Amino acid sequence: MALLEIKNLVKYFPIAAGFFGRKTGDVKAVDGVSLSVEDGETLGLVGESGCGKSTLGRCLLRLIEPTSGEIVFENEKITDMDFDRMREMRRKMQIIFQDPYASLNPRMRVGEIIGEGLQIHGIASGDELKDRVMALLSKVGLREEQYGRYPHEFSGGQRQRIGVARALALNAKFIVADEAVSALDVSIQAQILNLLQDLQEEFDLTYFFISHDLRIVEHVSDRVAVMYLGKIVEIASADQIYADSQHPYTRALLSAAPVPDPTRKAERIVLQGDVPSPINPPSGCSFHPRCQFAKKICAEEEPQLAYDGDHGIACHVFGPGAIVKPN
Amino acid sequence: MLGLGSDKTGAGMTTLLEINNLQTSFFTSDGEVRAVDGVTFDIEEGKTMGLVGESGCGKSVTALSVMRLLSKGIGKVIGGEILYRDKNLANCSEAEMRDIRGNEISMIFQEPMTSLNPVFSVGEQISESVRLHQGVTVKEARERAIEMLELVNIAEPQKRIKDFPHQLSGGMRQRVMIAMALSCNPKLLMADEPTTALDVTIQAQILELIKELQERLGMSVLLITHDLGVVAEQADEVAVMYAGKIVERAKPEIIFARPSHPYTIGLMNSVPGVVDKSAKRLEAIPGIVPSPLDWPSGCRFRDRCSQAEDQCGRSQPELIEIESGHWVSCLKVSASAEAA
Repeated sequence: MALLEIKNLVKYFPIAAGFFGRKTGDVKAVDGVSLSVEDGETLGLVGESGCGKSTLGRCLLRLIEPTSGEIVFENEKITDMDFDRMREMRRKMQIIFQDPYASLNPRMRVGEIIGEGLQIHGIASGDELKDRVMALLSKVGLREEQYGRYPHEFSGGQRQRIGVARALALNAKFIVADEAVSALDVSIQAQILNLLQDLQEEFDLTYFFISHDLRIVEHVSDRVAVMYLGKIVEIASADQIYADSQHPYTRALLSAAPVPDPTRKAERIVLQGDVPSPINPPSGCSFHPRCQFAKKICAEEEPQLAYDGDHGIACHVFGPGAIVKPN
Repeated sequence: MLGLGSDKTGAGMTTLLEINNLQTSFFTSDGEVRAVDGVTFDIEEGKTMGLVGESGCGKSVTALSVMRLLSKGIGKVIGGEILYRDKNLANCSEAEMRDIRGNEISMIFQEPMTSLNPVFSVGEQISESVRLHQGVTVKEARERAIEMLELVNIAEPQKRIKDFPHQLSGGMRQRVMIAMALSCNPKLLMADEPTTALDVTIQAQILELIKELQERLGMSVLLITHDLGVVAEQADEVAVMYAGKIVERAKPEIIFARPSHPYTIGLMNSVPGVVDKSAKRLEAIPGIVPSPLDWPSGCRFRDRCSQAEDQCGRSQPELIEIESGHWVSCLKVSASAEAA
């Protein structure tokens, strides 16, 4: 069963220019994304910086208001909800941020940071609140006596544990992990990834795991979606994506990741140029100017995400039922 | 061209840089911080040495010590030798160092935005070092800047030299940094996490560029990174640093096939897909890197090591060659190597 379903989600950030702040264009951060997240799974979202993955993650919780489109969570359309109902919904939907230094209020004690949600939602107070926060602290591998400490007294990994405890405090079902381990050293990354995995098993959590690190996404995800310039270009099970990717961008992205094995000489597809600006994305398939297989149709018509079983591909050349053939 | 190097044979190699027992300290209000404590390695001409480790292990300070770019009055090389072509950089005067920096040894940094000056055009910034070191005219220096931008594959270099850093993308900025670093034909390039801030597809472009230029210009590279994948592909030799010391050193073929120091093993287990791709759980190293203000006695990894014994706390293990070209500093590893 789908826990979360998004349909044709769009987020444009207007660009204002000049003295009167007239709108001169849009940054098309998320441009028509449809996907569903199954109950209890981890859906990985990969893409390069600026492709809109964080914006998408934030739109899911309506931390950023989507321009159009629909988000359905547990069969309720959250895009129509008013402020109070949405706040109520967010008990079940939480987010862990990338930067463990910037995402914790430096003036609040750890206990207050973790317990704030419980207090706001009137779930616990006084001694009960303290007990629950302490239980959360030990759940994420911190010590109970660290309750009264401030964020600056913790290392990066420990701070990320605080962020995890905060997300768990309200018994969330769905957690967006936005580059949750990217700022950490590798040995600490592994600790946090294991913690997230343990918690998922214990509490039946569903993760929307956003990362630019392909190896980590492969490790944690059941399914993986690949994003390029505001659109999903390929989505499939993690095994399929890594063993049998079809979209030229996915293949280039996978081959670009350095392999920690000196005996393997990788066939590398080096993409030329940079990611185009999302203000004025290329016509047709937005990947076509960098694609070695691009055909005439790719510049003219936008490919839709088409499914071959569970494997979705948005490509004129490699998509299911493609009419154009690669040479 | 693929982003992978051809096999260079090791015959008749000369050592370009030799670091012996380097010790660097920072004198802070909290006391002396020994960030680098007895680092020894050398780099041969035309080769790439990969220095791997987590943040705070002293890899950047090692590079800054070679360049003598430690903040004045706070950081100081307090022991050891940095032999560059038989000259000890640790004892060089500031004037001598100025001749070497940029000209003989140059450096590129992680953050291409903060290491370029925002108020000068990239052309001015590249020609500055050329004019300084090679005493050429403004016009010649400008020609050289265009040539360098061409070398790092920037399209329309005549136009681009007038651009300011903010007009360039992250990958382009890193290319400009490389152009600047290579403008005086240095023999040694120190690249401190050159691709960490970049996306993987751009990282692949930059790593390929460094490799290509290295082959063309015959320079040596000290590549500092935390990414095991990057060293596996780029380096001719790998040194793993932990808490200010080198704990293991070998060619990548050896170190990835037979990692021996418990820290190296732990590091490889921490990255998905290095050891066992199908493993559902990572084997994380417990605990955190100790503070340089308070290194543990004996082996500095022993608090986090699953195999530590009492003897590990007594003395600091020496770097010992357990097989040809494979150096490890661990009492237990060297004991079992001796027994074998």
